[in-house]
Amino acid sequence: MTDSMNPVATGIWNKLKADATLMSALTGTLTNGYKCFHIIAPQGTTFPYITFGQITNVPIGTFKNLTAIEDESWWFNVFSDVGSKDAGDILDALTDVLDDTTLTVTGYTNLVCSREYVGGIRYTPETGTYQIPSRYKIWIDKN
Amino acid sequence: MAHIAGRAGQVDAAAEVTGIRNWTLTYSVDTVETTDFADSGVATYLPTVSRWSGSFDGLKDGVPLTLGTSATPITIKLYESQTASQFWTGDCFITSCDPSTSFDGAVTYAYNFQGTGSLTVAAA
Repeated sequence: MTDSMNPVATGIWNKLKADATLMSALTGTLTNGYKCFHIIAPQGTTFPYITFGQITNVPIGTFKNLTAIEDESWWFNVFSDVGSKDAGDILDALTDVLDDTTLTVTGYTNLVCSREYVGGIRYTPETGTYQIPSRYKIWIDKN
Repeated sequence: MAHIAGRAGQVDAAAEVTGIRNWTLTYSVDTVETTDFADSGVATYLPTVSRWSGSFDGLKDGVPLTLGTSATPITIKLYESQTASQFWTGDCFITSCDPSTSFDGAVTYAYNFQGTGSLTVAAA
């Protein structure tokens, strides 16, 4: 874990829960955690929801500062039990929020938040759920 | 023989240049060919004048350096480490500045310099 992981996770969560379109698609409210969860959804959470987490953190260093910029990769998963279209609609809302946005990250300045890819939709018969993975590159500059 | 990690390097071009990630110095001597019939087909040379030049680059961190368009050179120090005297130094002119930006990267600056006069070699 890096120093920046929790502040970035909080910045992502704040950004997602502040978007009315995404919250409408997820039926997110304060009481259900806005249906956006770091790493894993709590047991009993109803679909749809989003999970996200850090994959890698690679510092970009200089002579003066070995961690001048933190180059991070974050994964996102959209889950829906309605159908592939519903999962796709939530993904659209998610990418509308995150593509080229500026996150508010305590202690850092967000330089980049850009989508690296969206993966293929995956259906899990045992749970009847549709999952769409995606990955973002996030650069932050320590204040 | 002690090895040195490069991560504590530094470049001063009159003042410290922040954001720098690499520097390279070429310290060389010119030669003149002195091959004659007596050398039996094997080339021979003699050293003449020495010269030095180099480059450094890194992330943009403030305004770029000014090119050396006046006749007054600046003092450059190329640190291998933060150990005293473990740097190369001499007077030089900044001969080029190459800013670079890509949509998925950071803004970087690269500089070339031409040394003028003698070069003080780094300590062991």
